[in-house]
Amino acid sequence: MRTTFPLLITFVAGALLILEFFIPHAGLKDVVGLMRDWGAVVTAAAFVLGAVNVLQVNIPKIARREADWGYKAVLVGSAIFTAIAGFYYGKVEPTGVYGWLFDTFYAPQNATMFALLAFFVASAAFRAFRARNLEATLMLTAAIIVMIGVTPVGEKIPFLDFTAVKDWILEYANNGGRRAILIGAALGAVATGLRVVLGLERSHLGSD
Amino acid sequence: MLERLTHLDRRWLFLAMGIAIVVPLLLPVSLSFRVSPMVRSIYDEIEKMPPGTTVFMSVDYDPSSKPEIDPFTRAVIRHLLRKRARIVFATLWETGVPIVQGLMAELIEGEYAHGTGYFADKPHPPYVYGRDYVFLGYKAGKEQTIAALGQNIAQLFPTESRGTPLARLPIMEGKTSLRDFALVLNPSSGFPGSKEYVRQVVARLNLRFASATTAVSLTDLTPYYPEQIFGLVGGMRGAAEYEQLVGYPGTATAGLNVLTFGQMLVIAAIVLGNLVYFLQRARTRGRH
Amino acid sequence: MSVAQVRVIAWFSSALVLAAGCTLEAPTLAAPTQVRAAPVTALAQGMSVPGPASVLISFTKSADDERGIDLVKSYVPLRRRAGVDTVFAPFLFARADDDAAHPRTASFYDLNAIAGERYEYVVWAVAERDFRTVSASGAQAAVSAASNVVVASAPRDASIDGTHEASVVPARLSATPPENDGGRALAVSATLPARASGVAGYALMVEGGPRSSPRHPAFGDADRALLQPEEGASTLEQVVSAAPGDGYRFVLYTIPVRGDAVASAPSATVGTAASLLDPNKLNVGVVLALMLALTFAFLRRAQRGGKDIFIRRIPGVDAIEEAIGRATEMGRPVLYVPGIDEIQNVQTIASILVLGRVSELVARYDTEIKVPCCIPLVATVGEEVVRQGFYDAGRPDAHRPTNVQWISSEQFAFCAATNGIMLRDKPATNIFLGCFFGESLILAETGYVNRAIQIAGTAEITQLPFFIAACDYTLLGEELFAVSAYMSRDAKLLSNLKAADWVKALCIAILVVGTALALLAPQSAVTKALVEHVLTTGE
Repeated sequence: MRTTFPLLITFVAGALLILEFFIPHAGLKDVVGLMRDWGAVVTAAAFVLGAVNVLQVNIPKIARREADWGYKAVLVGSAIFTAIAGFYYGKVEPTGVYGWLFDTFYAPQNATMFALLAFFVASAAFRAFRARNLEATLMLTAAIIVMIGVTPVGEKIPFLDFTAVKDWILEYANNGGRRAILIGAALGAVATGLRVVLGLERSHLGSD
Repeated sequence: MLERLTHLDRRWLFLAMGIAIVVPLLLPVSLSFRVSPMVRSIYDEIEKMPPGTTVFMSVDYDPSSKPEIDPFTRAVIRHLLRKRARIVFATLWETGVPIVQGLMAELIEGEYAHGTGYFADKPHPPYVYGRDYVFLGYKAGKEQTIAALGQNIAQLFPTESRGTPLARLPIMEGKTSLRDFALVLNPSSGFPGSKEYVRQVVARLNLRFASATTAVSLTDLTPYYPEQIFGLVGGMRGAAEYEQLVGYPGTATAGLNVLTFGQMLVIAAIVLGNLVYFLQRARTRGRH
Repeated sequence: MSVAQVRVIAWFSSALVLAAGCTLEAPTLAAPTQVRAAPVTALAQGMSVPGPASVLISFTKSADDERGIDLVKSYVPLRRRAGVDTVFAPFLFARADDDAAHPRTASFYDLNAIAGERYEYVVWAVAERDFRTVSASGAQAAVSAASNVVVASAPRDASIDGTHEASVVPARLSATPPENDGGRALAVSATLPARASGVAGYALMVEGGPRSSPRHPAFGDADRALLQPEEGASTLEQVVSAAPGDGYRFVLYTIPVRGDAVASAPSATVGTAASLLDPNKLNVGVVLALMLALTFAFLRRAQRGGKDIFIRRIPGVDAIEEAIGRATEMGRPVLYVPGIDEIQNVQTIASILVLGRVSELVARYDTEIKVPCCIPLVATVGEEVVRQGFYDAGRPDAHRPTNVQWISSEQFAFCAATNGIMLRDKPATNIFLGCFFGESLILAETGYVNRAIQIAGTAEITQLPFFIAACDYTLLGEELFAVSAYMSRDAKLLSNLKAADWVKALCIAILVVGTALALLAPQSAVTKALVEHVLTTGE
């Protein structure tokens, strides 16, 4: 019973969604639409659980003055403050405190985290891009050509039109490869979906 | 020496990258560059639009990708203002709201209205909110929202972001769905973005659709060029090309120099890494 | 308050939200009231006349309007000549500016009345095209009582000739259920007269239907009351939403620039028809059926023959157990990140399935697992899956609920916090499986600095290069979806993998044949049909 019931729900919900793709009948669309509404409500309700989880994990550590408890206090404090500001000022017109929080904290911190990529790319390039074998050498060469090709320097080199070669690599070699991965991944996704819907895969439910 | 290079502290690379980014910003070195057809096609499309044409612009990015995409958005808004196009803004990202508000305040209500910057030597007849430009606001729902935009905009956004019903806006007269716009522009940095627009509405409604995205996501969209996406701006380089076309170099042109130095440093790091690798391999072989 | 109590409260409040979300009632529509008509003599301050207006019609909006739910799509006024006409008909109108002081009232200008004629008016409220209002008992439109009789004044705009008569020929129309329709719409098609001068537009009205509704304005997909086909167009097509049932009749009114609208003959009565299969999607159905059939065929063969199903080695998956063992030896935790996308993304589902197997292994090895999540629902499901994994390993006591953490649904806040966990707790093994975006390299590089063994897998193609550069093992695209089946070695799951492989072989064969056709016979009908299909579907 512990696994049968969830398997049944999964099968019915999954089968309805698959059938809805093939059957235009509005009655089925209503049922699926209602299920989608439920899905949206469950997703929203999970934020309540998420907030409880954040407090559950962090408050005891702050109370016990565990290592790095200061960070956790900042986390809980800023989460509560942002929530109050968001509820009070609303999200549509971010003025006042909410807008200030967005401009002063959110925007620069977000951009900073993303900008770290530049530094990490340099260190990853130094240690990981090694011409160990033919494939790695090909990838390395392609990477260098594309990098030179996107900069204005690529246009100034007299003996080779790096921009044209870059365009060729992106348009043919890269597109071909990514389409192959895409087709494989799409089929894999369909297979995974079928396994779950048919109840073949039940590792997430455990044994009876 | 080889030993030290093998175990090079990565903070040296960070320092070098920091210098490669900051120095070109302080001392702008100007390098000229070509404009690719992908970018030029957007410029040409807007150039041939008659004044008063209405354009839909879905601004779908957040502050993290703002440095890369914002320069294009700014350049194209300047271009649209110069061409007297009417602009309907919307966003599918909640973090896009302050970005659009900032762009409107800075470019349309600031630079354009006061006749400064790009418009210092250009005519700038008044642009009225609701008649010449409007911001519909943010709508949750991601891909489903895009599909709904293809059916009925007013049902999705009963009022614009400041609360006026859409039926009362002169700019929305005769504009039921995306189909009624001469051009749909989508600066976007991920999901939901241009891929979802293509999937949901572009092919189905036969839209004139152009997109700007980050350099990393560019390869996601190139398969759609030029059939579904007639113009495509990729990252800083694409934005710099557009700035050059509009004739007002901004942060992307300055950023391109940064990009050049940054890329060169990455190439240098790869070369150095391989040099160390081969020297080390030669040494171990010599020992055996 | 104990953890269990907090959990009960959380679930209870979630259930309340759920219940509130599901009990939105099917509404009925209230009609507009207090319709008043007055000749336009002087304009109210701040109002402007958009055309040669002669009558101002004001009314109180429907009680259902602006109630929070957007129930009213639009208001449409109809008029008749008092004492002459029996039915109310559409006319040329414009909505006047709303009066900010009286938000409950609205008004229209009559733009094509004939001066000196006596008119009376009604106003219809037309509901939004929502399935609840279409299918439930709620009416689709509601009409006000008739207004007072008014004598139209001379048109305000002197440049328009008040005596101008249009040569108006009524249009012919027919209605059918649209192709492959769900049974809630009717497609109306009208043949417009070849030469009609002085026509301002057309208005579609509907009557009858399962509720025997009186004749009222119908909104088609153009979504406006006045339909204005392009210059020279000979037909007008509209798809109108309709409650399921028979007995609908449509009438198309031709509205002249000046004077009264002329009705076409009503269309034949028509009913909605729900289609049970969309033949355009049969190709997808065939592939799906093939995959199902192959799965069961391979499964039967494996069960009968008792032979193992061969699946090629995936080194990245083999490394997972090894890496968990290493973490145990070093006495450090295992970090598992199930991507940053929603639970309905199939990559997240695949990752959650693997999480079940990984947590079972972790419990067996008596190691700690940390699962930071970006989406609250993923954290909720993840916690259940980890708990189950520990239970299956026979060590339910070792499970700590706080090890599955929701951090933030903001991408880079999540990334920063996960980096913090890596730097403070120093996990010996990092497993990144699922949907990743810009944070992939930042996570993987931090893990590298920590000297952790890193196994990554994603179907996000743009992030694969970063994982390949920074991780020890990377699962590409479809390999991510194979991990759970591969780890289980269960014949049922492996036969499904095998079926997917065969379908892939079929796809390759189709690609090869298609390419050959395009190269050898680019002008043939088959090739053109294929190219057309690829161009319209995009991929």
